Amino acid sequence: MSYCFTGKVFKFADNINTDYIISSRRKRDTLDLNVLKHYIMEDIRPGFFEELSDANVLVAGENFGCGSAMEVAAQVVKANHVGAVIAKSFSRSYFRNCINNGLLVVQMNTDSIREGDELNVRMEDGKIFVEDRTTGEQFTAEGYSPELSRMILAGGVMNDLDSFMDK
Amino acid sequence: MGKYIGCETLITTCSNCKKDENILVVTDETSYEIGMAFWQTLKEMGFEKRALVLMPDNKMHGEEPNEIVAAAMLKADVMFRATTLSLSHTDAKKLACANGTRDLNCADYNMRMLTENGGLFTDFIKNREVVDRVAKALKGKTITVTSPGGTNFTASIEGCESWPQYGMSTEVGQTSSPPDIEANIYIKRFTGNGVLCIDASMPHPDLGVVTDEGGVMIDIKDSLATKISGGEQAEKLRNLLASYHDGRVYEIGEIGIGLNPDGILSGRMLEDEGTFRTVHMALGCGSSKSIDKSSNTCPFHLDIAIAMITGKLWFKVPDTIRVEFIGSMREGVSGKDVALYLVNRIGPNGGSYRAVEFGGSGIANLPINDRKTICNLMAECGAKCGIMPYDELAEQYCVERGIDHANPVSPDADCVYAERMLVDLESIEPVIAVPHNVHTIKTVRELSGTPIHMAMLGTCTGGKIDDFREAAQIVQAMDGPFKSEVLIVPASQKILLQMMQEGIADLFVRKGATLLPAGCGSCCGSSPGVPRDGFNVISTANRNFLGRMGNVKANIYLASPQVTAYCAMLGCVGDPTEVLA
Repeated sequence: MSYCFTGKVFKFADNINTDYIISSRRKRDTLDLNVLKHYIMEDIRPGFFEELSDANVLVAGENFGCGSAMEVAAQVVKANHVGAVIAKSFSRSYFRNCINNGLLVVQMNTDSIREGDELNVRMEDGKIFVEDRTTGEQFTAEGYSPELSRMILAGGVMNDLDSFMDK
Repeated sequence: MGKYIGCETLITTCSNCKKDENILVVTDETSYEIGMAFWQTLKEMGFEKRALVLMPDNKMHGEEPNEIVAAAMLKADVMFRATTLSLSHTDAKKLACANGTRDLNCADYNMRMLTENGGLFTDFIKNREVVDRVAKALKGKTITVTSPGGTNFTASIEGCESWPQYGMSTEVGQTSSPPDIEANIYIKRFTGNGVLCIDASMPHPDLGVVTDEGGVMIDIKDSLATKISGGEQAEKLRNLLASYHDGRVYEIGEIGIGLNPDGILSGRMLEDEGTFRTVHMALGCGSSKSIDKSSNTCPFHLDIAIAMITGKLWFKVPDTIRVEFIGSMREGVSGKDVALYLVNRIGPNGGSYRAVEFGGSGIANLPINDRKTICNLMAECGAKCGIMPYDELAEQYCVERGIDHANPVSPDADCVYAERMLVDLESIEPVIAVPHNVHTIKTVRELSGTPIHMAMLGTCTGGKIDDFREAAQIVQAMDGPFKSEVLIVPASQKILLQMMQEGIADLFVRKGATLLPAGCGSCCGSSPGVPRDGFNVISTANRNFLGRMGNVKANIYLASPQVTAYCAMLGCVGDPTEVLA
């Protein structure tokens, strides 16, 4: 099984914490992703929701998703049609939450990728290939074990568990 | 008929074992005789694909068996668990059932049950019809239980489902606990009121058949046991419940109606529970199904769901940073200062996907409370966890909480560290993390005089009872009210109660503080206490990101309980050692 996604790059800096991705205070009113998705990155990039299209890739520096382990921070990104998050490194809890929710996270050097570039991300047999179609640059990133790629492809661990239960 | 009539019934009627099936008997040293009774019976009846697994005695109900036993359970078509303590709530058993094993809990049996008389000598098939009828009738708005002994108890069962238990596991993955035959229901939480007279049995090794004159009386208010009276057994029950240090053990969650006409009250758990003409109630909601079923208190996180279903979790194994502590903290310095110092030194990403392991001669001088705070904050440098050594202090802490079976781990002699650092605790002074990062710190002296409009004492990081005691010590030593707006957020209800008992809550409120609900909340802006525009907030919490408390126009400073309390009394930043000296 394989995964292939093409989208437009939105670039962020180092140490983007989960409160910046979705402010904790928004959870007080609802956990409905259709509401929460409007507030993505609102405190550091007001109006970001309006900029997004139906095929997006988030690209960042070091330590993306640090801070609180809140799961909505992964879900709200996925709900905004983000097909992959690419960063130099991820916080451990955000990394887990993304995989558990079936959102592809890619760890690699992101220095040469620019805001607005068109990026193609592929996962085949756990190996990950990234192509910047604007600059033509190609990358290979660290891949995933069969278990983790299965979870990502299933759209998250809950779907994966459904098949476990059916066995 | 062979010698062990009880075993024959279990192998035939209760489990419908077939000759070509893999049949497992699990037993332990104490129940070995019972295990062998199953073995003999299976042998005499010609079950060739049988196996007997002998495991060491467990120390408590629900303790996991070792991997060999778990592997055998997984391969069995039918298993008889003839152990002394129950394995019903273990992952090994649940996984085996999920995999299709028909499971029969035969815990705490004795020879009399297998050879002479009692619940196993009943007609399981015939009883089934009665169980179905009673289970069907167990519905409506309320349930009332009365008994000649003096029980008069009412609870709501509106919308609650009843469960028939036939004491049989004839279907794939089914589990049962013969001779317990009953119809039961989980009552609606916190709706049970009245008096229970326990005059039959309390199946626990220390209790057993009730001998107290007139029974053990339990007053129930809002499903919680508020008073337990009677004689010697009542006292034992009181002590037993108190030893858990957990309010949930006082909650009545389940009512079961015993429907085994041949059961004999003998102090044997599975037989007593199902004996006809008895009703049993389950005390200790924490270990019963009602917590899962009501889902209103169960913290349900994906990781827990995975563990519950598969018995496994996935991890990337972290490298380790070794931090060596020497010396001891000065007066007015706490674990929070050490933690902030470390986050600054390691950096926001320096611990990414690593574990931080602590050691060294300075550990002995670090109270448990400070160790907790330090481990809590390690997440802020990206670390997966912080690990403190299990020393005398840690052991004492566990023993005081009734944990006498801690399973400590320590580093291997030849382990390799990704990084090592040495920290002289003596050299650390009170520090504050400044807006809007945890890793950017300044000393209290550098920030002296900065106005503080609001202070928050509490949360997971700084809301432990010792944190409040340290803060109270400062507040008590000073005259007048708080000069900043103060929010108090105990980490748990239990801590809130302790604060009330020790007069700490009273002290804070008299000085002008606002007491907020215990638990997670205003630290992340999801509770009252959102700061106004331009406010400088000092907080004992773990995070100070822009907008963290619900307003992007506020500035959050992080500090120890002592520093936070002192700043709140002054209305600006100051060094608490001034009062402590």
